[in-house]
Amino acid sequence: MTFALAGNQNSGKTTLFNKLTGANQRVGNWPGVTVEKKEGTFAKSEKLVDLPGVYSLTPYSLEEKITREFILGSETDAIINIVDATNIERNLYLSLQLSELGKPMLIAVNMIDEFNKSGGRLDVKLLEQLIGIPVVPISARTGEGISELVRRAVELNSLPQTPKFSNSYSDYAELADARYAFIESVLAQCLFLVRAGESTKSNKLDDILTHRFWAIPIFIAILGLVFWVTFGPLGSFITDSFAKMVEYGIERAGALLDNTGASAWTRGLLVDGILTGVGAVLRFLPLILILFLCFSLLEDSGYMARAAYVLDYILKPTGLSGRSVIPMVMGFGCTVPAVMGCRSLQNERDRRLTIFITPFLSCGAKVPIYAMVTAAFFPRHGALVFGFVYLLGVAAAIGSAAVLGRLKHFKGKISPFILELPPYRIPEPRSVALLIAHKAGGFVKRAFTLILLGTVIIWLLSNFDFRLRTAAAQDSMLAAISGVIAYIFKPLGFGNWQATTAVLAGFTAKEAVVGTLAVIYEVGTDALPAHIPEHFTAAAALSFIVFNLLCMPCVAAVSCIRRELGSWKITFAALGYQTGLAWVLAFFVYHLIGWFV
Amino acid sequence: MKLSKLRTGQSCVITKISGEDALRMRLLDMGLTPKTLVYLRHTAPMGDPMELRLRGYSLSLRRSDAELVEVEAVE
Repeated sequence: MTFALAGNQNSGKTTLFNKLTGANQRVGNWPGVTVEKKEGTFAKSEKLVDLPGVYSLTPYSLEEKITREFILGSETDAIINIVDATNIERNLYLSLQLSELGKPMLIAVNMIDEFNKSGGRLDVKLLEQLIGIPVVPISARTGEGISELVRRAVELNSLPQTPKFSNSYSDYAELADARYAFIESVLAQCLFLVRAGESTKSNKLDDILTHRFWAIPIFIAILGLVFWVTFGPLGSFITDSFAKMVEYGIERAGALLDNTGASAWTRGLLVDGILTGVGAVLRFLPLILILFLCFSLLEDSGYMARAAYVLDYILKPTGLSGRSVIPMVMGFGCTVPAVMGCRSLQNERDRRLTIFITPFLSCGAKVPIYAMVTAAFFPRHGALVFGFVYLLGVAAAIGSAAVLGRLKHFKGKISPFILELPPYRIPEPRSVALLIAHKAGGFVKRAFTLILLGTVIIWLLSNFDFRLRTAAAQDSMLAAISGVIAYIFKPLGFGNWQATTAVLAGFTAKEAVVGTLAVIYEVGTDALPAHIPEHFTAAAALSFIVFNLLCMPCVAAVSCIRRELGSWKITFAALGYQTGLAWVLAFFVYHLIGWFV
Repeated sequence: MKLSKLRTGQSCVITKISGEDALRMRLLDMGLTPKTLVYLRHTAPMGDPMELRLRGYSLSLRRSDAELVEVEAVE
């Protein structure tokens, strides 16, 4: 049998799905859309399909349409509907809608342990009678009631299904009213709250985290903590160790090729081209995983919903909602997970627009560029330069959202901001771990496909001249191409082939910008700042920073943007816009600063 | 009065939801149906959006969207 798993957001649906299917999962997309579809098996051969978390089945949202169509489809035999016991009144609203679709159905009342602990009691047998649908109390987190759930799901076809609520209303307000009235009358009989009231602990925490004055400083502090964990001593230790492992692996592969007597050309392509290129991207893996870990902990704990709530006001004028804050903030770490994180945005317009602007938020890999220029020209004003760069990125992102949002391409319903603020909960380790594993898999897969192709092309260009003979950097095709492209950068103050090559190398990975300059100028990375003033004026160096900050992101991010936007045409539009804006702003910075300095 | 005019700590009962279809349906689906008791727990730092308590859960809503909801204040 094929079961559809349906339920509200924050009802513990993912936890239950993981509990039931364990490692037997397949993740893909629903046909034609970028909404994730997860499938798994339980009880040996029963198929379970995880549906998007929805509150209703109106035909207005993509997720709700997917849910409705999948359940009505011939593939689906029965529904498992998960309901949050601590928020049962609103959760049962979806249950009534699901029961109206006419498929066999089972309600799993989740978090029954938490509900009982808070002083509530639910007469499950009576609830089952009153709504005419089988009900099983469970705790997806502890596993309580899961075997009973499986047992009854398997024999669902032989269980009585006599939904007591019938839809006989033409006006939606009357219908919604009638559904809630029915739920209220049912719960009045079978639900008892011994200690009435809400969780005071959750409320107290909420008062602090969304406090009138402290909310935004706390948000910034939490972000600071996340980036400190990712890029600070602990994060860099993990990242560096992993990078060393990758480098060691590449070295061993090189040694192996030397022993087998491979030609210099083969060795160059395999080791310096492919492995080094893929390695440069794989080095990001720990960083991305740590970032994802931090953000999924914030998400699952309920904090992210508060961050969206607190910051909605700031984004409102751009036509985006507070929900976009979450992926945008991830962009400060790495654009790749940020773009992937845009999936959490339910409105298609918001999702696309956020993907367009996220690359403007300065990712961690660009920091060495700022550090190099600061050390060379402004050693005593580092904070000022960094502050300027980050604020410029934020301003470019918000300004672009406001302007692009008015274009025809982004027309569409500006989504209202209607967001549930779930109670604070301790994240469930297993779900977090599975999410991380899934993200890691996707990233590694991309590193070996599109990114591989990109790095091979750049390697070929930088190691051969136009007669396809191996060549030194300054005689390579890349240098020749850079020499031509350099004219584009003349008005920006850095129109030479060296700086241009560094910018182009940045498209493989932004870290490569500084490294490439070091290679071309034939100095160590440490001595680089001392040499920069020989090749750049201060104004040109700032313009170089601005261009690198805003221009199209690295190959890894581009491939991700392509996948999420689903079209090369729109992807190129995004990259063109980003690079164009980078050029214009770098031009202004170069000439304005040139005036003063 | 309109739900958007509710002050922090104040409670009200919903009387009517007006407005365009999608948003109206969404509000109804989230439990903002006539006769429902709603309490404004607090607001985000700039006074908007608001955090409402209703039907045992917390819902955040922009004041501009809350204009569609007619309510009667409860003392």
